[in-house]
Amino acid sequence: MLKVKGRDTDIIYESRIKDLNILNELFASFDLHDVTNTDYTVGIFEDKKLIGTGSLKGDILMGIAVDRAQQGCGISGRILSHLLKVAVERGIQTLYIFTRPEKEGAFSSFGFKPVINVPPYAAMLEWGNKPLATFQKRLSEIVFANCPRAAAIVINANPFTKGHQFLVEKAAGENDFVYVIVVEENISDFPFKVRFDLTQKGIAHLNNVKVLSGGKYVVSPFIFPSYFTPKDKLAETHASVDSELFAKYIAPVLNIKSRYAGTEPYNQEKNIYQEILKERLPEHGISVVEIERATIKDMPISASLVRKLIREDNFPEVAEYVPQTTYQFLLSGEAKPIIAKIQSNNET
Amino acid sequence: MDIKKTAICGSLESNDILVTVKPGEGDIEIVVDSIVRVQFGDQIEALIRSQLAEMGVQNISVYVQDRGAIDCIIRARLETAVLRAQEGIS
Repeated sequence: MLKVKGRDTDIIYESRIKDLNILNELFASFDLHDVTNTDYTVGIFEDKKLIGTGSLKGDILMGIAVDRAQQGCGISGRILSHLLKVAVERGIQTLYIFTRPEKEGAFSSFGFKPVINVPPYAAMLEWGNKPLATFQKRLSEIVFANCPRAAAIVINANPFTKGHQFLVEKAAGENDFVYVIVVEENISDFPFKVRFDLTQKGIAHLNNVKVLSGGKYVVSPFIFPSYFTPKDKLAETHASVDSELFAKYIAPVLNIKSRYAGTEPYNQEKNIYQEILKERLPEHGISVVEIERATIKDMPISASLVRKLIREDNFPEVAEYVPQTTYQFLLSGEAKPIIAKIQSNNET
Repeated sequence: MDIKKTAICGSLESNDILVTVKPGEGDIEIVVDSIVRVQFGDQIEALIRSQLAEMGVQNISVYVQDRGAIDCIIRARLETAVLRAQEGIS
């Protein structure tokens, strides 16, 4: 416990918060939605009254808010210091913040480096020993030699299907060099390592294609924080941030001049995402090529369809929609816990 | 003295410094981020270097975010971070 200058009678202290409901009032005053499922949340209290808070979820800092009456008293510094210490103790060495565009300066004054700012949607900042430069260096080490222009496809591959394979083959036929970028996160049913391996196996027959990870700079919609954006603007906000990151930091290193994507007949959010890509990437000299989704028995192939069939335990049908390499994995022991998790989950 | 793991000490509050240390890649790497970097960046780095030499640390990566800390605070934060980075001490 620490006394703060000019507040002789009040005691301000930090404490971990487990019941996130006590944040509601403070969040509402900033027009923020609730943060949920955080890994760690700290509260700053003055005589039992919450005056500031911040949370950690994976390597993302979120929900940082300080009571208006207390701003400028060093509360944000305490919150951030506290969260950085907790993160480092947990072995996390780089951290990210997504916030409103106008809040960028508030975090950069604490040593967070601005990565991108896309008004009116969001800004992204990072903390650590040059994470962006390190990522770009890693990319430049796997770049095709003598490649003036390449195409890229970004997939989650949850899991890799014949639809993904068709799209990659199509791009590989139309371009000298193709990069398949797999979204890196471990929230999807199939962990990142498995999604990456199955993608690599599924394109092994194409010698002008490389598979790589998007690191933290291809942002999964499952990870993108939603608390500071109105719900009806969320897909648009995520897509704007993600496409700017791609255009600014990934495409130039790999000389990417076009981006391929399958049409999205079912998924409204992915549709919005694709519309934003078409709007933003050409401004950076990257064309967007939309390919009609491959169908089998009149059904457009999608990973969500495959997961639905897995949930229904209909493996003969699954075999129709995935390459042999993915199917073999599904029959292996390693797939058992993943299949069990999908089957215990009722979402569609 | 060997740096075995990542450790952190200090804070981002005014007049303090946040020091993060981790095992180096064979030598000493120091990155200084400071609100007074232009005036004192080199001095802070020299101070860190001399303290590391005193402690016999040769393989370390140091990242500091300085918020205007005075020398004795910088020394104390660095020493504690290095000690925390010894295995088994938290």
